[in-house]
Parts: sequence; C-alpha cells; structure tokens
Amino acid sequence: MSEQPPATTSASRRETLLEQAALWRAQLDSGTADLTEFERWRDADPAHAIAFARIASTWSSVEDVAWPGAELSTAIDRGTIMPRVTLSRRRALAWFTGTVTLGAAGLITHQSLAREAVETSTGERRSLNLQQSVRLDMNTATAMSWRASSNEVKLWLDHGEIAVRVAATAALLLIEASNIEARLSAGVYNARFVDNILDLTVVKGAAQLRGKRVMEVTTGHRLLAAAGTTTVQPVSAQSLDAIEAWQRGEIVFHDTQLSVAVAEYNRYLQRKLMILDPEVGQLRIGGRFNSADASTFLRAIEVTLRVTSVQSNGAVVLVRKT
Amino acid sequence: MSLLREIDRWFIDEVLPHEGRYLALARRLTGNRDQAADLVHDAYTRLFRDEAWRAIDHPPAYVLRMVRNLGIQRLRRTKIVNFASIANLDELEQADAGPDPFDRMVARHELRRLVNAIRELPARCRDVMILRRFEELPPREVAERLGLSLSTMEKRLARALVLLTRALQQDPPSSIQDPATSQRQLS
Repeated sequence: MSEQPPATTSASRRETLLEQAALWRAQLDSGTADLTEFERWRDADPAHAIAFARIASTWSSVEDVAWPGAELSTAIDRGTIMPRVTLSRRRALAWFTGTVTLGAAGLITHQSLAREAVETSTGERRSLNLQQSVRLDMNTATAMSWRASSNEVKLWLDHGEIAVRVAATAALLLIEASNIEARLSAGVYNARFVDNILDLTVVKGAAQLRGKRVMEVTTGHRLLAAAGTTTVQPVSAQSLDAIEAWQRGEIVFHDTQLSVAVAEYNRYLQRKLMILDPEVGQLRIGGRFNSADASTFLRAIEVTLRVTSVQSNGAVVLVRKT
Repeated sequence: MSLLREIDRWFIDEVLPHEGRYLALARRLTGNRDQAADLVHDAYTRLFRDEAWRAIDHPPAYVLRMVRNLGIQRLRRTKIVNFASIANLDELEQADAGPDPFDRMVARHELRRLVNAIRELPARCRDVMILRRFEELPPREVAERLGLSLSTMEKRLARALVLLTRALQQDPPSSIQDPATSQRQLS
C-alpha cells in the first residue's frame, strides 16, 4: 500500500459529499438529474462513490421500516438489545482467590518476637492479612519479614514491592526499608525498594518518617530515597495508576525510555529482555500491558518501533529490524 | 435501470453493515472519533480504486486488516506511540473476524435507530420522506400536495437522507460498540 498523508478526507468534506450525494439521489428519483453528469461525478473520486453508496444504503433501509408502524415500534422498544456484562464479580473473585491468610494458619504468634519472613519468586504475587487489620499484597521478586505484637506490627521490606492497606483499628504499623522507618496511619500505601531506590507512595493516609527530623508524607505524595538523600514529591493521578497497576496484573508506561521499561518488565519475567544497542534503549514508549506475559509488549514494539526480539541463551534480545 | 454498480451493491451489502466494528478498531488505534472515521474512509477509498474487491473472500475481515495496517502506518508517523492502542490487537481482530450474534444485534439496533431518526426529522423533511417512501406518491405529487416546487421537494428529501445517514453512522452505545473491549476487561 502506498503512503498517504494522514486525514486525507476531513469530516467536513465527507459531510459536503454526503449532501451532494443525497441531492443526486433525490434528483435521480424525480428524474431531473442528468445521468451522464451523475456518473461523471461518481467516477471522479472514490470518496464520491462512497458517499453515494451510503445514501443509497439509507434510501433502501428506509424501505425496511414499516410506517406508521406503531406495532413495529413497540416491538423494537420491547427488545432487549444491550448485552449485560458484569465485570465486578469476576474481578472480585480474582482478587480473593489470590489471598493467603496466614493469620488463620497460625503463623503469627502475638507474643513471639521472632520475625516471620515471606518471599515471592519472579512473576509471583501473594496477599496476606496480618491481624485482620493490615493487608499486604506482595509483588514479584519480593522479600520481607514482619513481627507482630499486641500493640505494634513492624514490617521490613528487604527488596521488591508491597501494597499495604491499614484499617483504622490497626495496631501501630511501622515499615522499614533502606534504613528509613515510617509509621503508617490508616490508609493505603505502596512501598517499593528496587535497585537501592526506595519509593514509598501514600495513596491515602499519612506516613511519618522517624529520624533526625520528623517528616510527614501525605495523601498523593511519594517519598523517594536513594544513597542517603530523600525527597518528597506529589504524585499525579496518571503516575498513581501506573504505581498501582501491578495489583491488577498490569504494567503501565507513560512515555518511558525502552531501557527503563525493559528493566521494569524484567522484574516479572523468568526469561529476561535485553537491549544491546543504546539507541534502541532510548526509544520511548507508553502503554498498558500484562505483567505476566510480555508477548503483547514485544509485538507492540515490533509493529510500531520496528524493534524485534531474538532468542539468545535463555534471554530475549531486542534489536532494530533490518 | 439500476443506479448502483456491482461494486456499490457489494459495498452496501458486504462492507457497510459492519462499519461499527471498523470504527471501533480505528478508534482504538487513533483514540479519536474524527481520525477513526478518516481511517475507515481511507480503507473504503482503497476498495473502490480497482477491481481487487472481487477477490475478497471475507470483506469485514479484509477491511479490518486494512484499517489496522493503515492505522499502524499512521502510528509510526507519530513520535510517541500509545501502545494501549495496539496492545491486544490480535485478540480484537479475532473477536471481530467472523459473523456472530453481534451482527444481528447491530442490525436490530440500526432498525430501531432508523425509526427514531425518522421520528426526529424536522417536520418539513419528514413529511417529504413519508409521502415519497411510505405513501409511495410520485415525486411530483409529493411536491404538489405539500405546495412545494419540485426542486425544493428534492432538497428536503436530500436533507432527510443526509440526516438519516448521519444518525445511522453515529457510534452505537459503548456496550455494543467494541465487544472485544468488554471481553478483555473480563480476563
């Protein structure tokens, strides 16, 4: 197919052609049109033929309508046309089947000062409830531990990513990662400690940092900490969606460098993606993908960025198409 | 005498009834209603260029593929690609490929839409349409009965046709517009 400039036919031109075609149809109906003229007009441009075909289609569809057709109209009104799709129940089911309630299995002993450890492997997700009032969702390749007593629950995030939901009735909840300790009040949090960067996002609630100076991170803000420096930034709704995407089994990029996107994807993949050509790594992408399956992602970069994937020693190498 | 050529009939019977699907796909590729309509129109234009249409086995699938290819060509010209638009493209096409209850649903829906659109025509256009197409009065008699010149009557009939065509072209409600989307949300 030949390349064409985009939007060759604007909406207003299509509208004008439709009007011309309709007038032709009406004049042909009354016999006032010159047939040769009409054919010349129609042959002049496929867009003319398309407009006329549309009008002709309407012209004949009108015949399918019985009129005045009170009876017909009621029959149509009675028809149930819309399919009903219930999303919520399926979603809710998926959500709960993933839950493992360790509390019920007796793994948490309130008096014990020993730390309980739990891990997820690559691609795995797990959910746990601590003391009925704290819910944890663990993302891929995450290692953490916790200790619960009657008045305090403390979490250590060694690496990986967790979402924490804290009920108002929860005991004092402390989370520690990368030498930063935060006290979480009732709310929803996402904590991520990957490549020595801590990102604690407060979706809802407040996190109080303990340390030399007291700092509070409030709803819609994130604490970023790396190599001893910390900063607090506001989080846009778009970023928040991307931050929480993993809980829906998704991975979301917004105008992200391919190298960064690949590193992010690799957290979830057994067979890692690799980029050797730095130029390929600098291409930018955006989109929403399935975190468990990179095939759509690979296909997407192939069809639009012309970057194809080559299997090599258990890895997948992304190269420019030649 | 038939005013419609073979290709016109083929287009009206085989291609046009599935327009909702092409638009749904184009909309996913472009993220924009006007551009989606452009894209679909572009694909139609190519159908009318030569005799190749005679060799097409499954016109809706063919047009969908064309919309997809043209859409990707356009995506390549944009700097920042929104991958959401082509993620799951294959599933979308598969979901759209064959005839299914969706077609019947659309047909019923269109008939209802047409009835509503006729009801909502401006009275002067509707009167002309009813006398000509339902009462089947000859054009000159329609004009006479309404006290119009023949040319005014033609203009009103044409206006009615444009309004009805436009009503039929409008996006169907979202619940049937893109069945693949709802399937995707389920999984």
